[in-house]
Amino acid sequence: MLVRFSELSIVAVVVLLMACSAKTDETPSAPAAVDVQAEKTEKKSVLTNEEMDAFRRSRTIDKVFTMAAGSGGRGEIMSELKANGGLLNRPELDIDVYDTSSALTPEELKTHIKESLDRDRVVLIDNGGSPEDRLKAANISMEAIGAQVDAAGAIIQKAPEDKGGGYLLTPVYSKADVQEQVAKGLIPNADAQTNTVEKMFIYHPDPEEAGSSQSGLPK
Amino acid sequence: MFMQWFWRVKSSQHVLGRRDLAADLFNIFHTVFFFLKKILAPTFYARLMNMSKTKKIVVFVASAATLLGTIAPAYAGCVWDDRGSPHADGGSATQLMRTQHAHNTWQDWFWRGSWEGKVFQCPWGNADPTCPINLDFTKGTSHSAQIQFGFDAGGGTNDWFKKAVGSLAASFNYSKQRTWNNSFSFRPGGSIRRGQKAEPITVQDRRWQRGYYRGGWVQTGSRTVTSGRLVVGVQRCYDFQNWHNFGGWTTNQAEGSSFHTIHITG
Repeated sequence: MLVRFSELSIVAVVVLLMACSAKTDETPSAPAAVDVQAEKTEKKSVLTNEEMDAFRRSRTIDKVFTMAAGSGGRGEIMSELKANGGLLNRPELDIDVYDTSSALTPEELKTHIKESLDRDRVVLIDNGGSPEDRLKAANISMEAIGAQVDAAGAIIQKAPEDKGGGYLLTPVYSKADVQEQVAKGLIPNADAQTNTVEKMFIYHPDPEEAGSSQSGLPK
Repeated sequence: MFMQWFWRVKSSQHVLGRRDLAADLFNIFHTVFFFLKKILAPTFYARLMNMSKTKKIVVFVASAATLLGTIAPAYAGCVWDDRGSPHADGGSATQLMRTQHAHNTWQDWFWRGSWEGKVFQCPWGNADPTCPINLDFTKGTSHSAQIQFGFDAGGGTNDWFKKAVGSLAASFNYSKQRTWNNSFSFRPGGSIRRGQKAEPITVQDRRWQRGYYRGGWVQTGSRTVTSGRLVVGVQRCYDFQNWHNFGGWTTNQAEGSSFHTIHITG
C-alpha cells in the first residue's frame, strides 16, 4: 500500500515538475506579419524580424524578376524557378531577365543590358534549351560584357570598384546541366553543384531557427 | 544515506538541474519512507499507514512542499570568485534572439583565384578574337562561423549537470561555432574576349543581423563558507534563468549557399 501510495505521489510530482519545465522551454512564435508592412520597409535599411518576414514574402518571383526587352520568361532557368516556387534568398534584388525569345539581336540587347547594369540591377541571361538558344544566349553575354559561360543561365553583376571593377559572370545550371555533369564525371553527384537554380535563388531557413525567425546560429 | 544525499543537495559545489531533480525526488521519497519505517519512527509510520487516503495525500503534499522548499535554492551553483552576471550558458541553454536584419545583402568573396595563380587571360595578341576559358579544377573550402562575446561562460556539453558546472568555470569564453565544407567546380566552358581576364571567385551573400541573448546564469547572492568557527570565504551563487534577456551580438549571416563565379576584367 505504502509503495503504491508513494510511487503514485512521486509520479504526480514528477509530472508536475515536467509540466513546469516544459512551460519554461516554450519559445514565443513570431507574430504574423502584415503585407502592408512590406511596402513601408522597402526603404528602411534595417528591418525587424516581422518586417524582414513581410518583406521576403512580398518580394515574389514575379516582383524580383522583370522580363526585359521583349523576353518571355520561358527560358530554362525561369521555368525551373517558377516550377520550384518558394521565397527568394535575396528579396532586395531587382533582376532583369533577358532571354532568347526576345526579337532583338545580341547587339541591340547589349544597350539594354548595359542600362540595367548601370542602374545597379542584376542581369539574368536565360536560354530556351536548344543548341541554337544556347548559342544566342552566349552571344548576348559576349556582346554585353565580353565573356560568356556554358550554362543554362548566367547572372551578370557589376563587380565593386574596390575589388577591381568589371563584372561577375555567374553560371546557373539547370537540372539537365547538372545531370550531364554527373554523367560526364565532372562532379560526383548532383548535390556537389553549388550553382543550381534552387541553391542560387530559393530561400532555405537555417535549420537551427526552425519554428522561430528569431533564434539560430549564424553561419 | 539520506543525510549524505541531503548534504550533497545543500553543498555549494553541487549544481542540481531540473532533470536531475525528478530522479532526486524519487530517491528522497524512498529514503524518507525507509527511515520512517525502519529507524526513526516506526510508530509514526504505522499511524501513517492507518490514515485515510485524504489524510495521506495531505501529509504527502505537506512533505513535498517542505522538500521542494529545501531543494529550490540548490538550483544555483556557487563559486569562489565573481564571474560577472549575467552570462551565457556554454551549451545550448542560451538562445540567440534575432531582432534586426539589414535590408540589403553584401557579397563576401571568400576565395580568389589570384591567391593561387589561377587567373586566366586571353592574350592581346591572340589570333582569334576570343579564347576559351580553360578553368578546370575543384576548389574545396572550409567555412566556419563563430559568435562570441565578452564575459566568462561556456562548457560546451549537452549534459545539463556538466554544462552547468562548465558554465561556471572561469576559463571558458562564450562561443558558438559551426564549420562546414563546400566544393566548387570550375569547369572548362565559355570564353572571353581578347585582352580580358577571368578570375575564379567563390562568393557568399551575407546579411548583417543583430540580436540579444535569452537565458543566462544570473548571480543570485552569496554564501559564507565556514569551517567550525573559522570563516573560509564568501562564494558567489548563480542560478540559470530561462527568460533573462541580456547582452547583444551582431553577425553577418550567410544568405543562401555559397557559389562560384568568374570575375571578368578588361
